[in-house]
Amino acid sequence: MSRPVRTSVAHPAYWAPVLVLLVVLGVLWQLGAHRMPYLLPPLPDVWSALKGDPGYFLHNSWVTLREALLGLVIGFVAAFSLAILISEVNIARRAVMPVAVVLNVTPLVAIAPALVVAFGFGPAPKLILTALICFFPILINASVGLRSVPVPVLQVFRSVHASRWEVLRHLRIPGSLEYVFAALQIVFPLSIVGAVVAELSAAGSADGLGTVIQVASSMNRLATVWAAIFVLALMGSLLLLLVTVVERRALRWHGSR
Amino acid sequence: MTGAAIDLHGIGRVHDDETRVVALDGVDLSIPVGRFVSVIGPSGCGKSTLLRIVAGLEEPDAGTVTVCGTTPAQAAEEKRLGLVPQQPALLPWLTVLGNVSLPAKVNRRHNREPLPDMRELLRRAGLGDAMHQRPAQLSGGMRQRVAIVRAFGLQPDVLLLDEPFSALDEFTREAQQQELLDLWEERGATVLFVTHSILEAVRLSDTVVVMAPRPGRIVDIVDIDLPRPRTQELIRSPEFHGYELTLRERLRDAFEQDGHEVAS
Repeated sequence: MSRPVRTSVAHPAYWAPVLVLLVVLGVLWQLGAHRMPYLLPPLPDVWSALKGDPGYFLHNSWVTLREALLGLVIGFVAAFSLAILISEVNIARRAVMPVAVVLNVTPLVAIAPALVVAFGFGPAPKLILTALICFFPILINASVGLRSVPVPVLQVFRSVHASRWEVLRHLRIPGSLEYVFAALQIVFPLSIVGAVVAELSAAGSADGLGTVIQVASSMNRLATVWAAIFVLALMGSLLLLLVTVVERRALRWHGSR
Repeated sequence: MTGAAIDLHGIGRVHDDETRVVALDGVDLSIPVGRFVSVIGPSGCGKSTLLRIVAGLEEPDAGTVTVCGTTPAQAAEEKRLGLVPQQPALLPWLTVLGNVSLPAKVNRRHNREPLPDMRELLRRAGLGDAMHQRPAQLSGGMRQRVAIVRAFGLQPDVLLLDEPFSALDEFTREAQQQELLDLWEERGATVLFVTHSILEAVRLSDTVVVMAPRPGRIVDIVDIDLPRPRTQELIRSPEFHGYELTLRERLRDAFEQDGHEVAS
């Protein structure tokens, strides 16, 4: 209960520092854009690129967002199922963990071109890459979370002959949520990285913000490139905000600790 | 059922780890149905190991264990055991009511019908107002009380408590002891209570089992012939002090036999 007094979001002390920084950055950007037009486009140009064809950006954002989220769901289901398996079966754990670690140290974005060769310009390589990128953080966090139930709690449930499934359902899975949400905080922004990198590698794709960037930069349309980048940044921030809000609600018990 | 709720014969147990410490050696103990029995002894005397063996959480290397006329595993399967570990072991994401109700949701087939009204039981234990709070919002004493209510909610034949009050301050501990006695007198159960407090053992028990370490063994069994309820007046009586002194001496003897680590 002895939480420090939190500054209200509406209070200037809360939003003023970041606003000042943004203004400074904006001014620096404009100065740079005027001296070196090939380095940065002037911000008004970026804005008019966005405003000129909002439908175009909206459509391509939706494509990228869909790839990111769908890939994330696939990665999540695969990683969480595997986490349950390796937390229950020791042999599976010994088999899977070294492979998973190698997968993690491999720069997965490097396999994007290979995926495009194998699966073409459709959504498949984007979903696969996104799922792969999201896989490892979820696997690790979930398997730690699933094993985080304190021994005395397990003993109480063993003393009433709780089955493996009951322990999993009542203790391990709810106990892992805290860890799973920590993974989601990492993985939601990563999912966009996966989708965009796959789009960038598939030069023949029809749409998606990565494709927008690819096409516009080949035509030196810097304003459009940056408009797409800003949209991606906004998208990532909104996803992160979403996870945080859901986490706060789901782990309300945790905050009162 | 036979007269004994818990029957131990020639129990031996060596720790699995590299120390190979003999945790228990030749332990015989028979606890009649409905008795409140405390096990007291210095750390390392195997009292907690003994409790875990009765709970079926650990297998003895030698000897036989009978709980409610059957094996500990079978007794656990039939939900005849209630376990209260050293820490309350509550689930932080469930309310107090959710926590005490959870054991009835696992291994349902063996629930002992009719199930007690957990709300009523919580109210009886002075936790009526805390029912919908989460463990983090409660004091240490209240949390431990929740763990005890959870165990009683199973309507166990045998209740196993492993130093449940050791982390509490003196005043809280006394109140908790009273709560435990009230519940026990009302609900009945054979109790095996592990403690390292002499006062606690004398206050609560019908019988106190004194253990010594290296190897873990029983050195004495003392019946406490004091009337119940054990009021404050009784605790201050010479008879009560007599029992405390007796136990203190037996514990000291156990230490002196062991080596020269006499408690200073």
